[in-house]
Amino acid sequence: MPIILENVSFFYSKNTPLEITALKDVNLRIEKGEFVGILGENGAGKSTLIKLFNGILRPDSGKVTIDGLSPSSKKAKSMIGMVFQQAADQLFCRTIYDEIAFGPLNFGYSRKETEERVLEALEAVYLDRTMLSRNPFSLSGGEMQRVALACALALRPDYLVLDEPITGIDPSGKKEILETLKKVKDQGTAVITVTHNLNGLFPLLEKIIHLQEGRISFQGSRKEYLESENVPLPPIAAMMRELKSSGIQVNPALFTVEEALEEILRVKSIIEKKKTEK
Amino acid sequence: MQGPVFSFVPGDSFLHTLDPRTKLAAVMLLGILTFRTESFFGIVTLFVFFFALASISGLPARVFLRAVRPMILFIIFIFFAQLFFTKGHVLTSFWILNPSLEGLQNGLRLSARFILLLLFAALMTASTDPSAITSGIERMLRPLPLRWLGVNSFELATMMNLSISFLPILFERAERTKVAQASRGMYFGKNPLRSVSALAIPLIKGVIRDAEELALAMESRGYQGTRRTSIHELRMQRRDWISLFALILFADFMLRF
Amino acid sequence: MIRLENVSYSYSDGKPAIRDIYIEIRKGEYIGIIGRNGSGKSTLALHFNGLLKPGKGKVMVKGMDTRDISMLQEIRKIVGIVFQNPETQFIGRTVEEDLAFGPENLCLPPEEIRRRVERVLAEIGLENYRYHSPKTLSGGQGQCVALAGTLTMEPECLVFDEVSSMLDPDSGKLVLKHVKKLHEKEKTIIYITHNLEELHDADRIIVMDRGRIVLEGKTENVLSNPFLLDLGLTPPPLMDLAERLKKHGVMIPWEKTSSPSNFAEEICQLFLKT
Repeated sequence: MPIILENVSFFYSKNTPLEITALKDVNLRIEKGEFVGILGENGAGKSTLIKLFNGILRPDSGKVTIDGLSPSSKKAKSMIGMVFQQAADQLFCRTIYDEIAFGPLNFGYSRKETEERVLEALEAVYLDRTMLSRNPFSLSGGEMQRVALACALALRPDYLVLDEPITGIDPSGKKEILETLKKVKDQGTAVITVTHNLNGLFPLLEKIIHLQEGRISFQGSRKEYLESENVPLPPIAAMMRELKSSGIQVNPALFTVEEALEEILRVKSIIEKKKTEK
Repeated sequence: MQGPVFSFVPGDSFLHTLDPRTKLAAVMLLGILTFRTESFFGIVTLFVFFFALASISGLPARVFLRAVRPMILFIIFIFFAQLFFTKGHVLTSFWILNPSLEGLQNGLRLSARFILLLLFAALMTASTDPSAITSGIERMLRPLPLRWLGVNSFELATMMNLSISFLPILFERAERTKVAQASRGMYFGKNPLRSVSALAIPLIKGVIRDAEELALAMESRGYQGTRRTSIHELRMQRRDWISLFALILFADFMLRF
Repeated sequence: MIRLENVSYSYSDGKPAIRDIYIEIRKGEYIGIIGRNGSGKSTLALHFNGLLKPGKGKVMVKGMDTRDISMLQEIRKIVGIVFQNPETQFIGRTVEEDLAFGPENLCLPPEEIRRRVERVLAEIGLENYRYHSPKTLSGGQGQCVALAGTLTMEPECLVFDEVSSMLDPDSGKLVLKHVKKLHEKEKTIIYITHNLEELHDADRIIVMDRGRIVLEGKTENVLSNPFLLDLGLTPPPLMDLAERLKKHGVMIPWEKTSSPSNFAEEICQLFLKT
């Protein structure tokens, strides 16, 4: 069963002169096991959208269901794991163990069950067991972000929702987070990320939702995204498209350096062959 | 996000061009007047006076509505407290409540006074650039011997500015923390002690960091906590003195009446 | 113009943040400083106008020592810093008030403050936001206000400390555009980041790791140095592609890797013309 949004609209300061349309007529469906990227500029409604998933905000019109349940029901809440921007800011416990155990204990799992979940989550984010007794505040920024991610994973969510998980994390910390997300997705959890980052996360996205001024302006597979107009593209894809439009017969829907290299060299050899034939 | 309760609406009416000190003095004077005015006729006169000023200012009505609205519950509470707990001629009685005629009068008078106070304050804040208000206060405080308290008028003015602008950051942080912990399954009823620390620790840590960053930004831009000038040239002009004189005459008339 | 001589600084718990830093910055230079989180680059930033005093060594700004308290105000007139988080840099309740904060501290007369505020509002394109609260602006505009608040001090040198790390890519580009314009107006620029892509316009790059300078040189040479990968810094994709094409005999000059369209144009020239 999926997350389904039907004709959802949301306004801030409704019925006042300051009314702002955050979302308008949004329809979408996210299945378990999908890796979904929600893209769009600041203020396009991305953060509002994910707050509808776990009932922090309620739509002004339309309907949100999580596996057929209302997002504010306890059952639905336990299915959604949220990792907010700068999630490391929300850490407060004396040890990393307590920090990760906070969620499972809140949802009423036994000590034993909780311990099992903590260890599983820690392993999922590639942190060592010896760290469990350390203070979260002694960690580096990237490690803190991974602890925050483990906090959400300890709830074994069916849907993992992340707001800019790698923004502000330097490249050396990004790798583990991306690995974790890939693994989580392969285990059948839906990973839904809000992001601007077209270099780091883009290769992982299977499905892309692009928001513009509160409306969905694109929804589809990554391949379709790379071929559609008026969406921000990763630099390599943008370059390949330019090549195509200036008359070089390349496949424009590529975005990794490796693919682009291969494609450019392929085209180069064809052109050179033609020249020698002449 | 909710807008600020009082907010400046740029304009060029007579009220906009007055010196902030004139307006500050006027609000103080009108505040005193409001609480010294007992008669209903007096209160009605003050309302008329307010409407006259408001129409001169050319400010939209929503500015004033926005100023009164957040206080409306408080005003209603005061009204009922007066209505039920003032001894006097009992109007009617139901259950243990005995509203009295005097209570009704007191309640109406007191609520009207609060509303007037809010309206006059809104009139000033909406017609004066907020930083000009602070400079005005700073200039009025300058002759006071604040040195003995370990501060000077410049520091005091900056502190006022900062605490006003820092509050929204604080609220936003609190809201963010609440939402984040709630999605980790925290709910307040279950384990209040743990919930308090789950909210307070991230909040305090965050606020301290915000304050440190703010202090660096201020220092970097040359703030030393000593004498500074202001973008607003404060000069009492003829219209300021005339306005103040007229206001004093009006107050004198009201108090005699 | 700015010279750091053997500068070291340790946190209050004794851990060294930066060690034996020697940097000389000439007037009008555009310098990039790069390093991962915790490499000491932000601690270094605070040394440029005396917000931190070196534990060892000294920092000279136009011949003035930052340890000399009587010179601090003069130094801060010359070197301004724009920080990472726009929200905690707003001091005023309106954009105008925020821009006036610096010159007010310099005790300039009101006409002069108004003149500066007016000029900077126009320069950064903020005229329409004059009476807005800076908090109601978007992240990108907010960072422009922070920059404008520094510009009213009329500094000769501007330090940007991770200014785009909280912004979306378009807002980041807007800030970078202003940086470039300021450099054209002969301001000295020190741009600190962990995103290599933003340093294309810099004249020279300094790479920091664990508190030390580990690499230094012309932008072109530093950005193509494979050593960066060992430091956990990934090269921008277009530059990476150009490097790899080079090995197959396709030479893309470094300047052309600055944008997808320049890059594509260069390939077209190579493939179609000859």
